[in-house]
Amino acid sequence: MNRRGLIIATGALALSFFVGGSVAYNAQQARRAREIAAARAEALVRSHSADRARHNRGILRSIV
Amino acid sequence: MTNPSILPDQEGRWSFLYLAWLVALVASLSALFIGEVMGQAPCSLCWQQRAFMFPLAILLAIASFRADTTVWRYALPLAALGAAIALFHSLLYAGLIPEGIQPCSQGPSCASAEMTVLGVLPLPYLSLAAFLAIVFALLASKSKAQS
Repeated sequence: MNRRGLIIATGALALSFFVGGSVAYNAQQARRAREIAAARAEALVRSHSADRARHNRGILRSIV
Repeated sequence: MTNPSILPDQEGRWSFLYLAWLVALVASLSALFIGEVMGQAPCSLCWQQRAFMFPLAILLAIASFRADTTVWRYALPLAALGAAIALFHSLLYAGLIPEGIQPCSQGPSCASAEMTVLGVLPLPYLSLAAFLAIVFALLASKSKAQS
């Protein structure tokens, strides 16, 4: 490979790494954000279910 | 027809030029990645170092492509000024410069602990190393050009 070919190949490789790295990093960040959102939603549902159970127990106690 | 006695010397000069470009290219793309992709806002001194590193990546690419080993006349002042700013930033980061003369009164801090890559490598030191590597590579290409 001559010098000019080497320079073009180096530049193309560096740009490919940059673009590929950016896409991979953004995908990883999006995946992490989705995982955090899912965990928060699950905690919210669990907390809501616990509230409803407590509420229902209160109603049953008032009846019995 | 090429002269075999000159060819190895030219090859050596060009290799140092190529090395300098490679360092400038990696440094520029890394700065862009950290700033634009990772979302770490550059501080005032970081912007000043970018202003010297980005032109070097273009200038040295064209010089390497054209095998112009006289480019050190234009590239060396850029690299030396960038190295001076990087040295100032490194001393600031190390806590050797008093807070009273810090230029980063507004915007992101120039000496915050978050200014690292991979959690361990301080960016000011990496910048200084890159500028010094370019300076030495250009000096090597210059000395070879003069010999």
